[in-house]
Amino acid sequence: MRPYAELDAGALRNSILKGERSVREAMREALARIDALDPALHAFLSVHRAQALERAVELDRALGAGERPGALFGVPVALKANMCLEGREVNCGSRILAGWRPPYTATFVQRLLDAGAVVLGMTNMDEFAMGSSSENSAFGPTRNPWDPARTPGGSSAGSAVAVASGMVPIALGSDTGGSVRQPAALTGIYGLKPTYGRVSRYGLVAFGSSLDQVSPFARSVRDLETVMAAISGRDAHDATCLDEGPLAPEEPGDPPRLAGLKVGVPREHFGEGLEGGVRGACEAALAVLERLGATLVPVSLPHTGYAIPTYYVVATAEASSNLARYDGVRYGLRAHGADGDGSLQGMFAATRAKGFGAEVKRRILLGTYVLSAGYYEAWYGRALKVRALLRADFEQAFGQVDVIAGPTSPVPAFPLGEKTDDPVAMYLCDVLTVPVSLAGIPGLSVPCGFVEEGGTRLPVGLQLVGPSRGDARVLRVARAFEAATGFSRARPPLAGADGGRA
Amino acid sequence: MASQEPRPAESGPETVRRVAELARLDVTDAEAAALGAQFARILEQFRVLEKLDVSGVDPMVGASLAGDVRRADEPVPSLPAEALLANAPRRIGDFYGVPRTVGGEEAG
Repeated sequence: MRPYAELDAGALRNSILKGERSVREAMREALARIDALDPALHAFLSVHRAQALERAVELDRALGAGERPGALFGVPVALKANMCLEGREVNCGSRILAGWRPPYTATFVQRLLDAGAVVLGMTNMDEFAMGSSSENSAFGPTRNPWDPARTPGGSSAGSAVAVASGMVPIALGSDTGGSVRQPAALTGIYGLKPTYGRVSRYGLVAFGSSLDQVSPFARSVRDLETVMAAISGRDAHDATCLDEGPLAPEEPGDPPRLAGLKVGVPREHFGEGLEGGVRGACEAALAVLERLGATLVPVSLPHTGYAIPTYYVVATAEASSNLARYDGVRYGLRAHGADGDGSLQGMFAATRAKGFGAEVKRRILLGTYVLSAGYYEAWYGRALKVRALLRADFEQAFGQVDVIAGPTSPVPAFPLGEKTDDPVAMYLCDVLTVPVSLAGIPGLSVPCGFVEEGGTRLPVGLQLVGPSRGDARVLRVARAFEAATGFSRARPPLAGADGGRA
Repeated sequence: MASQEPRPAESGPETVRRVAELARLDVTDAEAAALGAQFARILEQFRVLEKLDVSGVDPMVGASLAGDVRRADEPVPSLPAEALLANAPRRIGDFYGVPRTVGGEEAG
């Protein structure tokens, strides 16, 4: 029997259905691996040990009674701590929501449960998903399993690390400007941000509502396809959700052929600031796609240089509005102002001052500024127009090519602490992912090689970008690349990993 | 009209204080000073947006492909009050308790 940590979700489900292990045994293997590794990595904020084992017993009983197993039957999953599961703590990595238990379950979480998955716990994240390193979590950073002195990226750091280190085969994150694709790249796994509207946001705590998308992590493309088929599709609770059924894989059968596929290579994604090793790994990956039959076509996305300011104006504006709800009245922390119990306004301002961390405050203030009277048109209004130009760049490129490929992150995993004092340097981590978010189109980070840094091997991600609704297409290209290379099967060196072996 | 737009790079501790009031967020003097300096730097970088000619460009207000979605105007059940009040920092009967805003003794 193959060890738990080597199995993707599909293989684990098969192992259970073949009778090699029960769901309960699989949960024990998952929990043992978390116990062995998480003290050093800090992927989880909470582990639902008893509930997971109880549910495992129910699933084993259902299987024994002849019930038809779902597509994720018996698969342990982890959720980013901004996803609602009724009755479980969802704190968004923030002191202001410490202890908050949602009174309802998110649509996408319910769909995972309906497919037979078992939620093992909630994972660490930058506070309210604002950050690219996990260092903005109020509960301490998550560490990269490839080198614990480095960040795994962010904001969905815990979910990425839980998958990369073999604690769970799949996990959900949320991607607003790169928060799933960048940590996927930095930890050597797959991370898909779907087309905006593909997955319902009902039950995802809002950050930037015109950008947020629930986005899965996995160690195989097949698993990503299974998760997407489970969680996507129309939902009456989210008016921005596409009125379509679940996402179905394009051209089933492995490996898909890429003959005739045109891959756009944007010169702006291979420009200044791209680390040499990352460039080398991505160029080698493009050569693999070419060998598989694809044609590489140079394309231009001329407004790329405007994407960071556009994103940080739009996202902070939306965040300042979304986070206005945390005022100490209905849930979360309540603090009283200098005037004691006296004023309602004092309570609001004191609660927010005490409850939010530095980066969240910075973004709320920046967002309030760009929306304030006298500045709205010059900043927010203008950013919305530049956003339209960024989308037009992609539309023009997709007139010539089927997918676009380039690096996910300009740099590999960087040391914890390196960028914490410099917000602008941290924002630049997102330069290659935010244009895709602003355009609302799908982006998939694929493990595509390694760089050596100070004697440490660090993973590199290739971002495959598709046109609007082109999710299945980028997955198909990734499946072909996966079959031709072994990068997604490389696992990080882990002290204490034997604790997870069956 | 571009000529009517104010110069959009005003920053510094005074701006931070004014914006913090709008955002209902207490900031200390030290925070205002530090954030003011950061704002100046961030906004300076963001001024690159001013260089683009955006005349005639329609703003992209969102990324939704769903169009205008409506449902029938019929009442549907909502979450029970008890479940929602369970997270209240302070509860007075079936209400959220907050500091009194108009005259008299505070109840509860």
